[in-house]
Amino acid sequence: MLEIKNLAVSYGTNEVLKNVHLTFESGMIHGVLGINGAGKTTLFNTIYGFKKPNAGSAQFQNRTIQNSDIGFMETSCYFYPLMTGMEYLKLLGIQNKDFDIKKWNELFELPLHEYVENYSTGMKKKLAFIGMMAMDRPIMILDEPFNGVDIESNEKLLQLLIRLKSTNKIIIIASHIIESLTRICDRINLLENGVIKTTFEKTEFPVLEKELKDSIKLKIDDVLEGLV
Amino acid sequence: MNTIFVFLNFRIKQFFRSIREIGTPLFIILLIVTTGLTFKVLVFLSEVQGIEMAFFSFFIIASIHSTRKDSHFLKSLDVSRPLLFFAEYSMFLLPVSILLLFLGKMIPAIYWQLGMLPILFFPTGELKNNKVAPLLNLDKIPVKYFEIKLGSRKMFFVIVLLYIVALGCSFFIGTMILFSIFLLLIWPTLFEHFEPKEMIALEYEKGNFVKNKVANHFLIFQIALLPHYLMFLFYHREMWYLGLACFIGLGLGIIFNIVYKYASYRPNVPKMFSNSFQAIFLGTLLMPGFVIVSIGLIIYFWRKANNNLAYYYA
Repeated sequence: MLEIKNLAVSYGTNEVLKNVHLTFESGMIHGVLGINGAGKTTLFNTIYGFKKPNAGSAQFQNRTIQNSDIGFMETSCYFYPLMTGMEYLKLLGIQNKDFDIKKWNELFELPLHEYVENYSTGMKKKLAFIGMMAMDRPIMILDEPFNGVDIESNEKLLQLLIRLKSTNKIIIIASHIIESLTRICDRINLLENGVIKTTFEKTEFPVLEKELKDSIKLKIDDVLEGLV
Repeated sequence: MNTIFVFLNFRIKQFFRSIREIGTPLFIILLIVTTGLTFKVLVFLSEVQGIEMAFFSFFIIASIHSTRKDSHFLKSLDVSRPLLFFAEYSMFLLPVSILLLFLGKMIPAIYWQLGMLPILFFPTGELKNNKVAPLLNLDKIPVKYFEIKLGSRKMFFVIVLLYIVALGCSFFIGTMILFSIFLLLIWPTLFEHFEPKEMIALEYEKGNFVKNKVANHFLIFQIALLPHYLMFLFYHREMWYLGLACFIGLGLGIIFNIVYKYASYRPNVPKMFSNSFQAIFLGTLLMPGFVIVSIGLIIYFWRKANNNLAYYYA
């Protein structure tokens, strides 16, 4: 179990996360939902150790979380210039001798012997995903994994994530695409202005969808009143 | 250990791939240029006594370390980062150490290798230009100095760091020459991007576009370098002609990059892709007796720049 306790993070005077409490259980897919700037990426960066929190901690199995516990697929991953997809995967999967790169690549059919810089955005996403699988860490964090990915690969990703639940990993996903989240997640945390506003269980997802649609409609009506 | 080995193996491959990417003709030209540079470096190294080498390698590695973009990627690798940096930077510094050992200078070679040690424990990429760019208030730089704005955004730390280091080391005779070579190598990066056509059109209407651009930039860059020239004269008055050579070389470099940029200019193309002539210019500028070729290139591209701009904007 991954436990986030009293997490507070700020950039200068701007408080991005305020007293965040979260529990992520093994064998479940957890969604983090929020508008741009809500603090999703900051939350992930803090869990991963890219950003130091002002207060609070992240505990995994009753100890402080370490980098080696997490496979993190960032919104835009870094790829070295003149590096082939195969080299990228070999480097990430070096500790995982059982990882079969060719077999995994059958899923997305990437040109692994070409330079990554020639890949499209979606292809880079898929490569980063296979890279994360190669690392085989107990916690998987995916920040906007569906951005730029074609319909077929999107479906493959969703089905794969559902299957991964059986491996008892903790899977945390942030996405703007609410339909993808409600389909695969067991629990969704709604992040608003750096605070976890509500946590929705699977049975409550229709309520979440309705709440979101209503709140967006309210905002649109407010802004567009008298304009259109 | 295995991760470090695989990583270094990739870095070596990356180096050879970058040579292949450049293309054979340009590689041959660059080889000639680097041979000239190596000769100058050899002369410089033969005068170095020891601790200065640690100082130089420290600043070279610090500038690389502070601008690395792979900090997030490296964090995902299950490896000791100081150890990985140590292996990578050692490999990077090794050719010069071998050169020093070849010259029988064992102590400077050791200092050269060890200069990077304090950096290994610092996080990478903390001095990102994009973090400091908003603090620089670049809006105060007039639009017509587009290249200076761009250069400050891209390489602020590298330029400022080396500017200060070179000034601090001006007691050493080779500093001015090395600093000038460094600047000649980075000028093309400043001038490789084309500004939007509206920006050119605005200045072109005032007349003498290329001439004004050259004069303004020549003046700005040379004024910025004035402390270096003065310090050089202060410490090495008897070698004034070396300072003069740097002044002329850097000036020619500025002029060439501006005229070459506008000779290759095409509207709606964001940047220059061919740099063969820049390599030829640099090669001939650094090789004794060939400066006349560099001047010839400037005259040729100056005319071409005027004709090219006239075609689009006259």
